[in-house]
Amino acid sequence: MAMKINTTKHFLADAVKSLKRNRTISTAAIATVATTLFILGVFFLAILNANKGILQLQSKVEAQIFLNDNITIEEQKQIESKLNSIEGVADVTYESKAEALEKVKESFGEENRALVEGLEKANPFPSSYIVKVTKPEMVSKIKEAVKDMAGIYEIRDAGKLIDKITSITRTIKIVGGALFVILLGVCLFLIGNTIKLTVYSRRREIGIMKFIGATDWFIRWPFVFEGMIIGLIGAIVAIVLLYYGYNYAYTKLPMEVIFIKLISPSYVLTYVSWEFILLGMFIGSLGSIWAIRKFLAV
Amino acid sequence: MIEFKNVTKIYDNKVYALSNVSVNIDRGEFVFLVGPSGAGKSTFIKMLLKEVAPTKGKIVVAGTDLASLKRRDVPYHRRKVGMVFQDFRLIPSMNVYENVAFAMRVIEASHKDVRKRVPIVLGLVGLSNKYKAFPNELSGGEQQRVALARAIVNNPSILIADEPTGNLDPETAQGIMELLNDINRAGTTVLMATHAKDIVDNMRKRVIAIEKGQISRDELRGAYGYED
Repeated sequence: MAMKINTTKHFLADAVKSLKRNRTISTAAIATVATTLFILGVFFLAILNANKGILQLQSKVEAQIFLNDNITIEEQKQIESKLNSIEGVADVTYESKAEALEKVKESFGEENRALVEGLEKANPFPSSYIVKVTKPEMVSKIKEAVKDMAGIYEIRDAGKLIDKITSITRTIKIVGGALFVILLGVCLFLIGNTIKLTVYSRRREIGIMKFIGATDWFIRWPFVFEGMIIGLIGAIVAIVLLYYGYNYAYTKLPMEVIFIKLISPSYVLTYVSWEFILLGMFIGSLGSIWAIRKFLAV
Repeated sequence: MIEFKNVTKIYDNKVYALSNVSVNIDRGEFVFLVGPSGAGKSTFIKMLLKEVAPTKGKIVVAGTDLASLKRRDVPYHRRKVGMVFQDFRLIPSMNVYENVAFAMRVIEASHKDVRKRVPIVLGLVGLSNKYKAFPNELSGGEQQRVALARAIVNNPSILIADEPTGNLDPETAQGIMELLNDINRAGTTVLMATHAKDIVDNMRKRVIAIEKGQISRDELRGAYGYED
């Protein structure tokens, strides 16, 4: 497999020449690689973001126990001591009705201040205990312990949300994986056929190389290069599309709506790009090797 | 240099291409391989390059027992055997110089060696003034000279010529035969399959005749021995 620099130069020149000669099908093959990698990238980013979201949610898992407005001091004391006695509870904080209102005001921001103006007189927000836990699974234990106690209006936690995101992520993985496998097949097929055109137009030359004593790899390399170039260009197209597409989504999607901090678009360039280039070139060479195998048997 | 010992080749369709052939060709010999079409000459030649493996028997070429030759080592074996064909088999998109240099590129010779060796070989075959011509600009005889140059550029110990004069007029053929003779005298073993009666009769070299897959005749200073 070792090659001299001169030989490599010849191979690269050969590869570029034949790509130009079969421009239409080369372009089709490049487009397929780009599409495959782009779709792979979309699913990949979706999964990464979902996973990041789950982590973010898990890191601040807490249960919030809202109290009835007419709760008695006695009932409240019982709840508080019960919460403090549960193993795995890291912190119990009381949030008064006024504090709850203040929080809402803050989240509405300056421009929407009018909406919450005047609510002080009839504050609709309940007081609550915010319970931080050491492990996410403790949340359900706390719920179990206090749910029948008097004076509780509602118990809220992020557990259901996490379950939901996890199941969505699983679906994305399955659909994405299946789609990727199908597209990968199409890719290999199209690259293979592109290379076959070149191989076929040079079958005499291949025959001559064989009786002159060329090794299989000497014959294979120009075609492998051709496949690699297809894969490389396809990967670059996919990276550019994915970067601008994701950047657009990133700036347009309001943070409050999706409640998690998304992965920065620069991630596409710094990390995804290398994976795509390697994967594209790998797919390209695989297609070539597959296309030429028949012509090497003698 | 070439040794066949009880070699039999049966193709898939149960045809005996060669049956129990034993023959020895020594270093530096010039041998004509004659016989009717389909008698087994092609199979004989293909076996030397391990394009075809024998069903039975042993073949040793240039010191290598072909049965023990691994697939990945076949190319290296072929470098010891130069080949020339009736239809020249030059690469049309390459000029004369490039066609010959290509054979050196294939074995990854250095640029320097290529630049030194190719002009020498082109001089040997009398094409010093045609470096830049493409195959379709050359006569048949000239194309065969390029093919010869390509076959010997890597100094093979055996040169196999499969009807090298089949497409050439008698005069041009004579020139090619003189070249083959020169190559042989320089020490290369030459094996030439042919149907050219005049040539075989004139040269008075060793003649091996194959008929129906068997060696029917092996004469040291032989004649063609067939009517056409």
